[in-house]
Amino acid sequence: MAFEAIPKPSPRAPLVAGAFLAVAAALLAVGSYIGLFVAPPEHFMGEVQRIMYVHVPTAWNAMLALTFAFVCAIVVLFKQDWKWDARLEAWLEIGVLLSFLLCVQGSIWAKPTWGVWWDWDPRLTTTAVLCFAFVGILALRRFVEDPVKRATWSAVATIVAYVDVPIVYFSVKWWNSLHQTQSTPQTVASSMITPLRINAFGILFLIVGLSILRSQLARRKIAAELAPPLPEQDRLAPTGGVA
Amino acid sequence: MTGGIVIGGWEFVWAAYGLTFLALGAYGTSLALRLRAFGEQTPEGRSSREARDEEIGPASAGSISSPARGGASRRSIEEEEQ
Repeated sequence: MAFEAIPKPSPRAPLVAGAFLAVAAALLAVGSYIGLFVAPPEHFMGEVQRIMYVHVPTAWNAMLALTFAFVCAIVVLFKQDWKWDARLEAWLEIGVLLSFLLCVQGSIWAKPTWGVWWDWDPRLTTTAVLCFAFVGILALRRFVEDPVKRATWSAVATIVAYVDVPIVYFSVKWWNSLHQTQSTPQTVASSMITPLRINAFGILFLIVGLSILRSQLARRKIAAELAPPLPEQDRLAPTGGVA
Repeated sequence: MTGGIVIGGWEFVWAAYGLTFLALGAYGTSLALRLRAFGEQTPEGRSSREARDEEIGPASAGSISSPARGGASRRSIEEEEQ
């Protein structure tokens, strides 16, 4: 039967998450050090280009997190399993966090290079729409009290909102955009690729670790919601020796 | 900017890195705190709390064990006992 077994938190999850977070911290420390102090400044953008080493990995991982959320949403609809609903909640929240950070980093980079904090160009606009769409899904999850309806509705909404992810990716190719097109290893100096890749894997390990913790929290919340309340007599009975 | 070339700008670099790692760190910390707070209402948290109650004694235990405790932990423990 659908949505039946109450999910149990995994006792090993915090250890596994801790291992991922430790690797992530090491990778991000090395990648950021190389990006900030070892890699050469770019010819036109100078030192400001160093924002790329955190901005681009954030963008890749934001897309990846929302893709994981999309996959979880499909599995929720087909398998109707609370574990996948918990994973969906985790990846939604992480995807929103990274999308928001992406907009903030881009805005900080835009000011010294474009002269403005924000421009309604296709890449920026579609990314902002993406962020707000998934914030809306998180809001939906908070407002719907019935766990089954919440899981189903948010899975459907995630699948619909995910349509914007490829639009964000291809927006710089489809329309004239102030934002540059995607760089490739052929168009970027090798000294700049190393910190980019290290930070990309660092953020990937980080979000996997965070998603494990977040889905454990979601599992516990679902378990608490699904369990029947204590009988009135039990709830009012004194549990200790207090007079 | 001079002649199409950006001069300086380290403050923007530090701001981008600082905000990113601050936000990610704050989210990670909030997750750990939320898990810890929720863990005290789950079977694992409850069992450790009850072990502590036994050490302290029943008089103090009354003030620690809240009657508002959710049904989840009770049901899970009953299932485990079965």
